[in-house]
Amino acid sequence: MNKNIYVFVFLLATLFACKHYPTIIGDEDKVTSSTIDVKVDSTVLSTLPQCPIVDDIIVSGSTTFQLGPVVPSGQGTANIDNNHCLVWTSNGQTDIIRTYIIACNSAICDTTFYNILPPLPIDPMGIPCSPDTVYFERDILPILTQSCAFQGCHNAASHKEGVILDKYTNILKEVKVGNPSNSDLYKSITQTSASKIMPPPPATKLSPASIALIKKWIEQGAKNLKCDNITSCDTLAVSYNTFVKPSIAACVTCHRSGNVGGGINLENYEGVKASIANNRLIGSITWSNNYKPMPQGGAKLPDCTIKKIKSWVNQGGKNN
Amino acid sequence: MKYLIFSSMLFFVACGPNDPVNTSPSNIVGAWKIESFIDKSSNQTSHYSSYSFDFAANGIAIAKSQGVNSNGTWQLVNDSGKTKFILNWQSSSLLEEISEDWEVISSDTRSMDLLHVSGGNGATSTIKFVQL
Repeated sequence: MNKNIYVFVFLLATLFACKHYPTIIGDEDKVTSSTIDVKVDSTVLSTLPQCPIVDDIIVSGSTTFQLGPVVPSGQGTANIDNNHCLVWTSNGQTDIIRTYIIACNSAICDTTFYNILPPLPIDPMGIPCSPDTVYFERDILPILTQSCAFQGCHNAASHKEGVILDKYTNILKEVKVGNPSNSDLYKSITQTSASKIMPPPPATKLSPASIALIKKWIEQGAKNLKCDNITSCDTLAVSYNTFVKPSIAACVTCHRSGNVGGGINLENYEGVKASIANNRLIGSITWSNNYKPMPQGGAKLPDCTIKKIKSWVNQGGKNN
Repeated sequence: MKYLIFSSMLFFVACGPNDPVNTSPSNIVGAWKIESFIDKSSNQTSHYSSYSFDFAANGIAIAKSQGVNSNGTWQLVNDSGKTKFILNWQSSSLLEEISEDWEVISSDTRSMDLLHVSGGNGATSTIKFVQL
C-alpha cells in the first residue's frame, strides 16, 4: 500500500515538473498599407485589444512587445504605439517591407510576421477642386494676404491689435467656426462704421465676392482644405521605379512567385516586363474586354495613373 | 520497485520535448546551406540547392544564390521555454518560405534542425541547416 502511494506521488510530481505550454495557433501574414489591421480569430481570443498586433495570445497590460528588424531597411521606420498598433512611417518606400513582432506574456510568446505594402502614389491629377467648396489656400489666403497681412497692419511683425492674418493657424484665431456673425474676422470686414471697418479707409473695402467667400468658408467649417488645379495628365518620361512599381505594388501580394495569380508575376521588373509583352497588364488595369479587371474587387486605378502606365509601356517599358 | 523504475522512465520521456535547446549565437554565426527542407510534407530541398547562407554576428542573414545576395535578418529568442530561431527575408518568395520563427530542435556547430508548426491546421515544416 505504501509503495503504491509513493508511485502515485512520483507520477503526480512528474506531471507538475513538466512544463505544458498552450498550443500556438495562427501566424498568418498580414498585409497593410500603413497601420496593421489584424483580423483576429475570435475563436482563439476571448478578449481583444483595440488595435491588436498579434493574434495568438491575449494582450494585456503586462504583455511585452519586441519589434523585429525591418527588411529591406532604409525605407521608413516602424514603431508600436500605446494601442498595440504597429505604425509604419514610410519614407520613400517602394518595396514591400517585412518585419515581425514578438509579443510575450511572461515566457509565452508569439511571433507574427507582417508585410507592409508601399503607399500608393497619389493620383497624378491631384485632388480635384469642387465648385461648391471654399479652399483656404486658393480662395481665402490670397484675399487676406493682399488686404490685411502686410507691414503696418496684420502681418507677424506688425500684429496690430494682436491680430495676425498671415497663415491658417493665426487666421483661425479670429474665426468662430461655422458662425460668421460671431467671428471677429467676418464682423470687421462687414462693419458699417467707417471707424471700425477693415481694411480701414482710405483702403478699399473688400469686394462683396470676397466677403461672401469668407462667409462661406467660415460656414463650411473654416477648414484648411487644398485642391489641385491640374488640368492635364503628364505622361512624358514615366519612370518604372518611381511611378509604375509603386502604382502596382498592391498587386504583388497576389502576383508573385509562389503565388502567381493568373500566371502573372509582378514582383520584379522582369515579371512586369513579361506581363506587358502579352498586354495582360494593360488589359487588366484598363478593364478591357477579355481581361480580368484589376485590382480584383477594388476600385479602378485613377485615369491618369493608367495613362502614365500605358505611356511607360509605349515608350518601351524600360527599367528606368 | 518496478513501478518506481517505470515512473522514473516516464519522467524523462515526458519532459524531453519541452526542454529548450542550448543554442548560442556563436553556434549560428557562419556559412550554412540547407540540407533538407520539408514544407508541410512537401520536399522543397531542391529549390534551395544553389543557396548558401551567411549568418553574421550582427544579426544580418545573407542568402546567396547564383551571384545574387539577399539581405535578411536572424535572431535567437526564448519562446515558451523553447529556443526559437527567427529568419526574415522579404526579397523573394523562396526566402519568404523559410522566413519563420523556427523552433531549434537540435543544434551544434555543424548542423541545426529546425521545426515550425503552422497556424490553423498545425502542419509542420522542418529544415536542416549544415555548416559549409
